[in-house]
Amino acid sequence: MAVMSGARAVQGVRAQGSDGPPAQAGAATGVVARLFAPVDAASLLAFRVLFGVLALFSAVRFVALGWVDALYIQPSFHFSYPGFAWVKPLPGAWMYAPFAVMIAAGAAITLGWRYRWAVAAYGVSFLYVELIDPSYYLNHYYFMSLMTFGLLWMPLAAGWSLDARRAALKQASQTSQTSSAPKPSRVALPAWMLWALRAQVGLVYFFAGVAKLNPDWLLRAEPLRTWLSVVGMSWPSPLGGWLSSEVVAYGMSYAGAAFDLTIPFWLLWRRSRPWAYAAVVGFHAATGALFQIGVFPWVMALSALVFFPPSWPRDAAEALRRGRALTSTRRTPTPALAHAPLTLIGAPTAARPQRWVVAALAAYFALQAALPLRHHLYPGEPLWTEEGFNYAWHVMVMEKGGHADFWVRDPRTGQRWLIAPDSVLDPIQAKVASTNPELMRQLAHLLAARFRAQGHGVVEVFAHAHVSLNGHPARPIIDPRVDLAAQPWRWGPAPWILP
Amino acid sequence: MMQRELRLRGRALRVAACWVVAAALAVAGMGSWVGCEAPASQDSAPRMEGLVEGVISPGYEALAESVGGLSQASQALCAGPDAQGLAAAQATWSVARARWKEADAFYFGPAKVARARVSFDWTTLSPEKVEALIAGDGLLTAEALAQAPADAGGLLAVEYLLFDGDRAEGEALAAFVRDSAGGGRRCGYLLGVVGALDAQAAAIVTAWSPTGEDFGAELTSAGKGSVAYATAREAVSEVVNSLIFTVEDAANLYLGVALRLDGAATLDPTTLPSYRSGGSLEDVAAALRGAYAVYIGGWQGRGGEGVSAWVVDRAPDVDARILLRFAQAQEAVAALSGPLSEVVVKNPAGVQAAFDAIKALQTALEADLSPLLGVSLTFNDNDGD
Repeated sequence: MAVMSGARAVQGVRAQGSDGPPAQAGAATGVVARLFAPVDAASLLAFRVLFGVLALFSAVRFVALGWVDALYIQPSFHFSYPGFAWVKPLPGAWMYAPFAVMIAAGAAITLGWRYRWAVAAYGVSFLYVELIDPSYYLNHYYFMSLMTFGLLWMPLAAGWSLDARRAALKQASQTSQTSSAPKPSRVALPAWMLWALRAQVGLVYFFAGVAKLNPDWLLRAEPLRTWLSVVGMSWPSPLGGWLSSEVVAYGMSYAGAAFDLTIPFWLLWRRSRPWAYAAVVGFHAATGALFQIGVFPWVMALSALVFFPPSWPRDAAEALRRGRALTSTRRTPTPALAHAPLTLIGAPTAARPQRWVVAALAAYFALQAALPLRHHLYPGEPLWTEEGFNYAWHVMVMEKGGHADFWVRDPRTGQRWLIAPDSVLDPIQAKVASTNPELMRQLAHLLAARFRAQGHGVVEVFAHAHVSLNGHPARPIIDPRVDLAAQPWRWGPAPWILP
Repeated sequence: MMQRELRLRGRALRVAACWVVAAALAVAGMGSWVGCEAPASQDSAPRMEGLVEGVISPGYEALAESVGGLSQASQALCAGPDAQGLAAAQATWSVARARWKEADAFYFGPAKVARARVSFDWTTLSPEKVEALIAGDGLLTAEALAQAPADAGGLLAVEYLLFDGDRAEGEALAAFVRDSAGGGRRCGYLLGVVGALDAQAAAIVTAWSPTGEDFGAELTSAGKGSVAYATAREAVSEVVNSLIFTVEDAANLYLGVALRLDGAATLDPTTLPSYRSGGSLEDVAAALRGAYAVYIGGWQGRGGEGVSAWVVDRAPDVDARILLRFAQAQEAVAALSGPLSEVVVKNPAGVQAAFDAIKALQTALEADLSPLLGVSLTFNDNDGD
């Protein structure tokens, strides 16, 4: 990627004016020029700080809740992503090491210290942990992975960072004319960086809304109806009763779908933006209070700040300053910084590298738009088969319950063994594997391997699994006549999943 | 400049105030509208109270009473070992065993903390250890035997002492007769083990009693100050999971083993719990009785505030299906009689039918009931989105 590093960038192009088009882009027209127009970096720098804080907080929280031990150290077996079976947890307490890296990297990202290395270290550690076991997949983990990937290409330590301070000091020591040194807090970045983050956040909301356009959500208010009635049990009367009522379930279902589908556009429109952001905060505060969804509300509420004008942190600081000034008898001078020229960082000036950046962005977002739609390539309902389910922002649209028994049969002796998933797996794995067909296939392979290791030779493994989706009566999900241990992973639809 | 800013702030405040009023009116309007058809309160407290008072406390009281009966019958037997006394002791053992298996369906809270399953019902008994302890010179008081190895105590140790099992016919009684003439350590062991069980059952009753430690209040105040259960869902999950585990064990540990679904080439009767008394099927029936009581909220088929009440509120069809599965499972087990190791040879189809019926019940509880009541890990133990 032809993006300049932060250290080199401080010597980059100097644009005139505030947020206007770059001087060198006068001849350039169209999308490329718009994408490389300099914008105030304040919003992106604030995003870096908030992302770092979230990364730090998430990792600390994960460790503090004992999940490293429960999810990665205690289980004797882990499911695997196709092609990533080689990713295994580190032995014993070493599994805390990637979380220590995430904590340190989160702090470094926040402070903007060795930014690129910090993002890379965080990304590698986070991805490693996530790749260990697909039964722990969560949408916001995937979102964090994508954001980390995005941050890797953006020089977001160009200001408000230790890196920028170090670079400024270095430059100042090299030249006696310190007045020509760029102002770290008035740096500009190419617009594509801001729009890429906006597009990523917008896609999450939009496809989460699309995923809600299904009969269960719209016609039965499921699974919200079930979840709300469960939450209602803990609420005092009559609030608990109302929370469990049909009206509230349907109201929240439709409001939730409308919110997800439209909120990116409301956030983009200047006039509706403040109210839309208030709705974002309200929505995530409500879902965070009602359901155990961890840091997801924080991640989305803070990420949605990228929709505000690029100078919003500076504007907010200015508003605060003015607010204080209004209540103060002292006069506060307007800082000259607000009108200082912008210094563009991280933008290639040649046409060819710019086109490469645009092509890479187009390819990335085409993939991001295609992944949530890929379930149309598979027969059946994605919530049922879970084929094309992950990486598609199917956020809070599924409540599955299931019971699965695995029957191992030695074809030579006719001996049979009845194996319950919870006798082999940890509780979360067992629960997910009782409803997820692909994980059932992997469990069947595990059982076959264990029996082979015990000297039984090749055994057959059959799953008798019944699943209830969103309150529908439980029904068989796997063809009980199929030897799952003989089924390979495949790109296409699995023929042994019953409709 | 300042006046303009003050004007702007005033306007912003007026707009905000308008929105707050509008929102309040909307909520109030919706509240009155919803109020017309407000459903019954979802408050878990009354139902938990019903479950505690209608099922759990009476269940443990019945267990304590039955162990008390076993203690008395054991003392009578030891006072003068004869066939009549042995038969009486055996009958009281069967009652205590049934009460224990019934209580399996609500094995949580104080019983679980005290690891009552270990002291009451360690599934693999070691007769060698029992005989070694009897032959030794250690203390045989209830307190001492409460610390004995799990595979040398509990109801299955008492069963071993009272029933012939795979020993020669009449051997159980003969051993007591010999013992009465030889120091009485066998009787001491019997009375010590039963005494330990008696003390533990009484402690559990006290722990659940409102005049004792009142653990029931933890369930009824779940999500509202309970120390044990931060949310009502946690308490409901505890109840439902315990119910499901009981049903699963009834299928897998009894009928599944008898059908050799553990891969055994031939059935080893000693792997069946209660095989010495021939009461394995009674264990299964009792476990289903206890599970049914928790589900409907009362004993002897009298429903109260049980799990069913929550299910009816949300999905009456699921409730009907579960009740049907309970009936089919109980009927299939009732159709079998005799020692399970013999029944499975004479009537394997019947045992298979009972196994299938209990599995169907387990499926209904796990796949239909659990998600309905939020008894899943979707939003538990790890975040979910």
